[in-house]
Amino acid sequence: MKRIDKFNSIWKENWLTGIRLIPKLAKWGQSEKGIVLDLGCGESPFRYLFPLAKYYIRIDRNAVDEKVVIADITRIPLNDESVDAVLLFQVLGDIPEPKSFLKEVSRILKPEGRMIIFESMCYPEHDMPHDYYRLMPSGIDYLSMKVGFQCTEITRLGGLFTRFAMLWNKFIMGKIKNFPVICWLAHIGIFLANIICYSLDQVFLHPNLAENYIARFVKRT
Amino acid sequence: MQLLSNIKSYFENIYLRKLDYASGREFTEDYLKRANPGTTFLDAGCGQGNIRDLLPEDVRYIGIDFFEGDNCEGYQGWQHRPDIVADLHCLPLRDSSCDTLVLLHVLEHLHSPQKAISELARVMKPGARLYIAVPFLHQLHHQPNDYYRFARYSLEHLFKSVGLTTVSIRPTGGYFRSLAHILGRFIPLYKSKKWFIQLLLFPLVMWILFLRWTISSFEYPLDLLDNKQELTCGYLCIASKTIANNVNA
Repeated sequence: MKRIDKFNSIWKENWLTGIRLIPKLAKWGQSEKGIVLDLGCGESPFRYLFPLAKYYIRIDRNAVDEKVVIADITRIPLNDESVDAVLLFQVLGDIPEPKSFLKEVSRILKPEGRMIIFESMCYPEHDMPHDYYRLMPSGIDYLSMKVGFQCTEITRLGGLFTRFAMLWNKFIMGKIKNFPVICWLAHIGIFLANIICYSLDQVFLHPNLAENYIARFVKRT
Repeated sequence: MQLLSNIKSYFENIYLRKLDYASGREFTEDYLKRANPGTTFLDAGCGQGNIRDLLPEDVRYIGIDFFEGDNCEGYQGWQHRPDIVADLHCLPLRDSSCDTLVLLHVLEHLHSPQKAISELARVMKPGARLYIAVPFLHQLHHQPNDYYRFARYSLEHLFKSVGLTTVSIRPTGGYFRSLAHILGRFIPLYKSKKWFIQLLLFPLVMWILFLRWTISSFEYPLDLLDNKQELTCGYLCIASKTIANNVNA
């Protein structure tokens, strides 16, 4: 199963994130016509949202397929001012020194180049020992400003119940999925949680408890 | 009757253990115990400095905060004022001058945590201890000065980078406590709605409150199931400055 299905299907655990994230990202993706660099790409689940990109370069620590460039993302093997847009999808939290990493990103970006960030605010610890921070919107704003970026937009996605659904889907339903006979129960549980939590978040939106945020920065000239 | 009293003691036990582990009572007792007469106790980011009242008379208490009380919304009506109004990134204290340092729910509000910790390490005496409490799952608060949430490794990394030794890093609660914590945030949200929406959603709210109440009453035994504790409400950590570090410096 592809990773993007988890964001697109209502029976899957990341649907609540996807429904808010994908329209936003698709709008931003339409305007990226140059060289797009996906840092810490993994399977690059959102690649199809950047259809007009001239080149789509993927760099990660370890490769999932043959098109990934294996490199240390804190020392990017690219020339100065060579890239039009950098995508950082759930990467910043896994880096011990986010500020020097953002400086490196700023080095390879052309002037007026865009940096698109999608980051979780409360994701459980994962990939130990490569998990360091959860950067809050003001944190990323501060750090980017320090290394020469200008914030154009930060949008928080979801609210209290999205957070609840994430916990519910990942832990309880994730445990049930491991048992062969009752694994179908997990799909129903996820489906119900998705629908109920989505509608509750429409009524009771709690922006301070947002689960994720998406941000776009422009490199100052 | 025997059975009844057994059940009663079981619940009492759960309740006490729960309190202990949720509020970090051990943690508090630990730093209060270290504050012997004649020592210096630094409360960085003290707010109204409630710890002052818990300490013995002859402990030298220093409370530092960036806010004085009146100059920031939500800080009015403080009983005490901070002793020093200063930025924690640049402490106005001499090197090796404090014995016990606490930084409770402050580190996430500092834009450069590494710099702040290195400043605290500077003012620590050799053998002094630094007590830090940070949230992990907590909502955004005191905006826009809310910058980070720290995972286990970032705290270790921070201590190592400034030359402190990590004594312990303990998560406060696991999955179920986090769940109860999130659901608890719902109540003020519900109260802020108009009365007819409140009435309309009352049955649903009862269910959510029931769920929250059930989880939070049993969060201690339930969290024993979650042995990894990858999702937690926060961390309580202790770091110390060893004498060897000081010699090297």
